[in-house]
Amino acid sequence: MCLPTIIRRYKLATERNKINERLHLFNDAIRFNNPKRVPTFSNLITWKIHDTDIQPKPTILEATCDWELMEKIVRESIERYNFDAYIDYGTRNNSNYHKVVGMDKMTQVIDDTHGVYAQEPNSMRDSEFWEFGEDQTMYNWTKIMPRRYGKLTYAQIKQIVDYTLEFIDYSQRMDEITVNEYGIPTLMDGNAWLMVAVEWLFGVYRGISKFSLDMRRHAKEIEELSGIQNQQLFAQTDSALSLQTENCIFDIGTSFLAHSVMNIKQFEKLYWPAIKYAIDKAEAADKKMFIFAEADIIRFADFFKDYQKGTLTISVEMENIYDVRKVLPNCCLMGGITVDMLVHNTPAECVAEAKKLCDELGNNGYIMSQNKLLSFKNDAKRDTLKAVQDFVLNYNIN
Amino acid sequence: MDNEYVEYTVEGFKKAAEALGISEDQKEMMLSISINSLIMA
Repeated sequence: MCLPTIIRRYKLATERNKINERLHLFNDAIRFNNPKRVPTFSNLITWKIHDTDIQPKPTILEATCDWELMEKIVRESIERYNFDAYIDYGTRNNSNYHKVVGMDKMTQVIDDTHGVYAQEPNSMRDSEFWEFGEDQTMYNWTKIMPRRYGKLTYAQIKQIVDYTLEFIDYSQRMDEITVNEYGIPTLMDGNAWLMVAVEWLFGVYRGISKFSLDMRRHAKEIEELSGIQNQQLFAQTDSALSLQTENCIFDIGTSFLAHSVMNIKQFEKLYWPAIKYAIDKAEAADKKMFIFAEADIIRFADFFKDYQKGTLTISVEMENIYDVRKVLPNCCLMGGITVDMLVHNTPAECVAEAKKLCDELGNNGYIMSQNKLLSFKNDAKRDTLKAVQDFVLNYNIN
Repeated sequence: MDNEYVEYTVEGFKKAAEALGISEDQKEMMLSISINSLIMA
């Protein structure tokens, strides 16, 4: 056997050991099974572009249009901070589309002074809930495309498809690189991510203000739409829970955002049936489910508090994580390192807080992460983030 | 044809998919994924 082959095999074996070690840590944390140390999770998205040392310094727009450049930025970030797992490998934004449709038509607008911000969607008319529910692709093509982008040529459509194919290639390449070269487990299989109907209305078609009114003016239509879409989510849940996912931390997951404008009764009607089905199935099959919850979760705690330990992991964004622990003692919690702290405190103060989190939560279902997606330049500082990470990686709690 | 405008109808979708230079069995799926990605991007 030649030397390069031996070296390659040695490296693959090393990364296999690393990924197994990390999966073991996450599994112990999620199952309340006394992990050796607290696993760390990165919520870094476009902030890593601000953080890069690559010269000349790329803009957000340049990095989110150039996948070779983005790969370098992601590799640099992984090698600098060495998190155990990541929410994003530079795939949060595909800005190339702006070259075809214009930046003002994008949902995620890139502004190199401020970063990325979302435009309030406003393309769906009041009477169209059913059309979206019946055939989403054809609804997008016949209604949303002409309203939002106007006339497009065959050549422009082909360019949009080419940009999508490049983006898919990049995503697949990064999935392989992170597993095989860095020994990083994947959050979950891409087909295991559920999106309930109201999240589409809230985030893609109606926007916060219209959706808030819709729940009063069109309550019946939305409830019926949710009922129909839930059948698809039930099937997706069954399929996701049957997947063999050896490199994944979780078996199934979802993100909560629309719940932030709902009262409890609305949540129970429009959101809970699909989520309850998924959690019940996950619990029965002894699988692990992740809820990436933005905004608040405490007022919804009654829905989750009776599930057995080891089933649910919930991220904590705006609330105090110790308060969440009191009302949800059965759920693994992700978060704790606040953006405020990373920006305004010294590295030593941040490490002291990280130690407190490890000591108080580490043996009771806890994954350390930043409390929100780091997007903007002032969402973190390198020295505080690195100090916390270096400390936690070397702090054994058992 | 490249400079002609697509039609935003069911037939127009099929015609736009047909015009893509990718393998036959993936055309409609890739156009669907691309349009959905664009709308969310």
